[in-house]
Amino acid sequence: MREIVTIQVGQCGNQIGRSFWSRALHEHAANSTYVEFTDDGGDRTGAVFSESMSTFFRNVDMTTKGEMAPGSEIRDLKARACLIDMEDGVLSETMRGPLKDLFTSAQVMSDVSGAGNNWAHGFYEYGGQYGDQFLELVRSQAEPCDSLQSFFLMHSLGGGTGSGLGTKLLELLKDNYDGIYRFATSVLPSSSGEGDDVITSPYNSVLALNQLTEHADAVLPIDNARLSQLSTRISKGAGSGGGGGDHAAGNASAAVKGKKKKSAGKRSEGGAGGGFDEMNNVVARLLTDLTASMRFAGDLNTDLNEITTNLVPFPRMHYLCPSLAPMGPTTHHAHRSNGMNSSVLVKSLFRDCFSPESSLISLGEGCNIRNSSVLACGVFVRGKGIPISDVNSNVARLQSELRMPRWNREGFKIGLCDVNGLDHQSSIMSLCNSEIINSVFEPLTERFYKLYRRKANVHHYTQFCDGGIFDEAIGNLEDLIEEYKGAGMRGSGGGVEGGLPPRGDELIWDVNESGGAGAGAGGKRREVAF
Amino acid sequence: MPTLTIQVGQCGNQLGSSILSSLASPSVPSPSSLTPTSLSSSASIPVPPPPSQFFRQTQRGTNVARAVLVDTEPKVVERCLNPLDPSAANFRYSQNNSCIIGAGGAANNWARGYSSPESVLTSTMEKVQSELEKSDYTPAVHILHSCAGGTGSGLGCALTREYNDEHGSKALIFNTIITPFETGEVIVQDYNAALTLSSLNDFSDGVLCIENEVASRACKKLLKIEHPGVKDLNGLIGDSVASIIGDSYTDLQSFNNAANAMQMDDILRHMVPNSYYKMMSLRMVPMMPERSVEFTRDTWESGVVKRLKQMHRCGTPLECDINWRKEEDVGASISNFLVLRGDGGLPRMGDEKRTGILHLERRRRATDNSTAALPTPPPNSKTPPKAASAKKLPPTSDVWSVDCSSFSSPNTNYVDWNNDPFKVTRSHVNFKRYEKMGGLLTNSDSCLKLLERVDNAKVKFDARAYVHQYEAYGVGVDEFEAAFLNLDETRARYRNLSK
Repeated sequence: MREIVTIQVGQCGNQIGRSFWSRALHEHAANSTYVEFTDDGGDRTGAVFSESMSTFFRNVDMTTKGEMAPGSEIRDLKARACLIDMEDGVLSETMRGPLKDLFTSAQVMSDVSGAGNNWAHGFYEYGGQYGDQFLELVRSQAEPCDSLQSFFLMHSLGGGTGSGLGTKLLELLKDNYDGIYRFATSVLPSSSGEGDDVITSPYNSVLALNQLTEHADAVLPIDNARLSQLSTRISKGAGSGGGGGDHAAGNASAAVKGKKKKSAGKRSEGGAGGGFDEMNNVVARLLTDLTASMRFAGDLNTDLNEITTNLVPFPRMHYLCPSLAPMGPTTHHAHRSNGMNSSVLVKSLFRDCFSPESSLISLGEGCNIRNSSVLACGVFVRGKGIPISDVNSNVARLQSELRMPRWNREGFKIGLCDVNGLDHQSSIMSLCNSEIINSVFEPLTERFYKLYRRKANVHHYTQFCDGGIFDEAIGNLEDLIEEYKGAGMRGSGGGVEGGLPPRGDELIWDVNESGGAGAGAGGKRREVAF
Repeated sequence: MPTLTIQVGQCGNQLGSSILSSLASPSVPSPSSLTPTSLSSSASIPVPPPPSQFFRQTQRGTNVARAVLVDTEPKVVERCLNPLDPSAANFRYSQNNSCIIGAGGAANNWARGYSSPESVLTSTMEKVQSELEKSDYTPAVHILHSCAGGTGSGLGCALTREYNDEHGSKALIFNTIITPFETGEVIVQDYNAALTLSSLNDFSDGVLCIENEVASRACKKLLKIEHPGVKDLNGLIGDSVASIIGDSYTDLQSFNNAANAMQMDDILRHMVPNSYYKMMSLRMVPMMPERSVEFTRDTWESGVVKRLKQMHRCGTPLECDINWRKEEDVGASISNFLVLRGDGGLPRMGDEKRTGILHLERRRRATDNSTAALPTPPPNSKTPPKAASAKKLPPTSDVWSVDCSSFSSPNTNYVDWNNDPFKVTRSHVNFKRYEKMGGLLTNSDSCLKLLERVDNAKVKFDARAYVHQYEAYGVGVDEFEAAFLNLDETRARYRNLSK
């Protein structure tokens, strides 16, 4: 009914993709229904290909190659996805791995040489070379859709392929599929530069952001350093048992099909060890939670395109900073939520979600959601039996406590989904369109200039394009930073109305908050440490 | 005369099925009236047919709603069409009368819903046309939608416009809209609401605004539901709308004839004498939890009419907010329409007391044999049905003789240019479980509070926030400004009523 075509580009994009598909399969496996099918001769119990599965998957009859409509028995599930990389490694791993049955070779587009961590190589060279082939590939995925709702781009910004080719593809989609929303999940290199082994990553990121600002409808920025912190925390918390995270993809697809297949394969994805796995898993969870409310039933269904409408007040300011709660491992939270009544539980979820601990981007020192202006915020709650009134009362509290602009005092979009996620009985995800994004942008600008002042490595880029693109891109980013700073002040009245000072122990927003500095009305914003 | 119902979007469809099922459900005897004898004989109690204005009967006797269902996603519409849906036990929808429009939904964007492609509107209007052709003449249409999201608000307005273009010269359009919570789940709801109200000002003949906020308060305060859900809200709103638009009669004569039931177009003509003033609101008395109904022994005068009057006087939509010290109307009204229902249709104590049912029997005979419709002599109104029962009831319990003069001029402050500002209609058939109930539809300056919320949209607009999303679908700065101007004028007109 409402389909999403996923486009995963580059090494990072494809690794996230693997986690994502495995998770999506598991989620549907846990929620599928089985009925008697009596078509060709024998009676048997089979899993139904539901409306909700059709968002991400096609059901194909392999003998006739025909598409089967929702309501039919699951035959062969195929992901609505385009797998793109300019190197062979990760893709062929995927195609040999436990998820191989989800994709056909026609969904894969690859090269052998790679983009050499060069945005311009990806954008201009590969973009030109593979543009038509890509559009053909997208068409093959878009055509069987009944009502295509959006494209999901998964990529990283630090390298060459995901960053360069990925943003080129976004531009092509904009030109060819106007009116279909483009969501990008973009992994940014760590803002401090720590642990970043790609020298040119500030260039690539700034050049890619330039494109994302112009051509995406919404961007979910995620920062690599933050991801690795979170995954360390999660795996530490989980202990050696690791009960929560064991989702072998092969098992999942077998489970969805009604156990027709023997469980095939263990968890072999990642390639770079458990840390990456856990990191990709966090992103995968973000994406499944984001779409849960459009796939499954709930009191307040939220379509993806509604998220764009509600959270993007100005066209360029479409960076929605994600947070997830609970972030810890399953067992920890299950223990905690035992015996809690719903309103205490929802309150604790809200508190966790709006604390800096849960953010998927690194916040600058002293910066938190509390003392930055928030243009609009989406809250998406998953779990059975969570009453809307509990959610509303927490949102009402946030509305009075966050620094919302005068023109958007009620700037909250709420989604409520009955079906819980894989790891938790109840969970919450928030997307904040807020000034806090500057704590990613500002250090990145700094790092960009460190290289650009010396014109280091610029000649690699000018092979493919005019050097003016650098000034254009950094100028665009600096404008955006200023726009975010000033957005709260827009409109005739002007002035961001300050939130109330922190209210004792009622809601602990920020463990580092020192006496509510900077939370005052119209007060000076934080100092960012570079 | 039939009235066509068009339900648009998630809210419109839920509300539509709630209103229609309330219209179709027979009155439920209050527990106290059920004695063992009447319980055993309850199977033979004739169920009154649902009002023919909103339903047609198939040859097999099934009641089919004269309704068209429109949405951009199948979930809610499918639930409505499902014959096993308990809310639709007494009627069903025609399977052919649903329209699911793909196109990815309206994204909470009024402009996107309003600018739905021509093909979408054409196919919906074809469904409407085919339902219209099932009767000779349909003088009124009832369009139900929300004004917060994109589908109901945008598409609902587009369909109102289309209907006005095609049938506007011979039919009246009544829109019932649900206004969102002040802090709703949609950020751009103020824009959507402003655009909806302004568009309906142009194309509708009357707009009944029902506030979710009020319905929710009513559920909590009056029905004592601690955490009211969407179902509770819709149930309450469905009942109150049905109480107004269901069959009711100006006098006992026409009740017995089963003729001249108040029709939707009659209501509209009465309520909107001047097309500058189209905004209506609704009050209903009583609202109470099921368990309390049987303990209620209110009289018509003090329990229903007086309370409605005081609610009207204070401009409050809820019984619990009444300020009894107010002695003058706070505002001015253009027109009021009062409906009283009850005290008749229930079996009480013994079979011979089922006067109300006898009315229905006679009525049905009259309909069946319309050529020989003889006026049935009115039953002895001095012996109200309950007089014989053990409980002593005040003598004024007969619905036909209730004094409603407090709503007549000069007891109520009406504008001087409307010669016929007040109408009361009644029905002897009980409304659901209530023994006595009253509904009041009012066209007065009590809509100003709602119109003030347009200011929120203006604040957003001054910052030009979200405008680009609407611009992409043809609603730019000029259109917004025109809509605000339109609503400002409406506001000024209503404000001047009491000056």
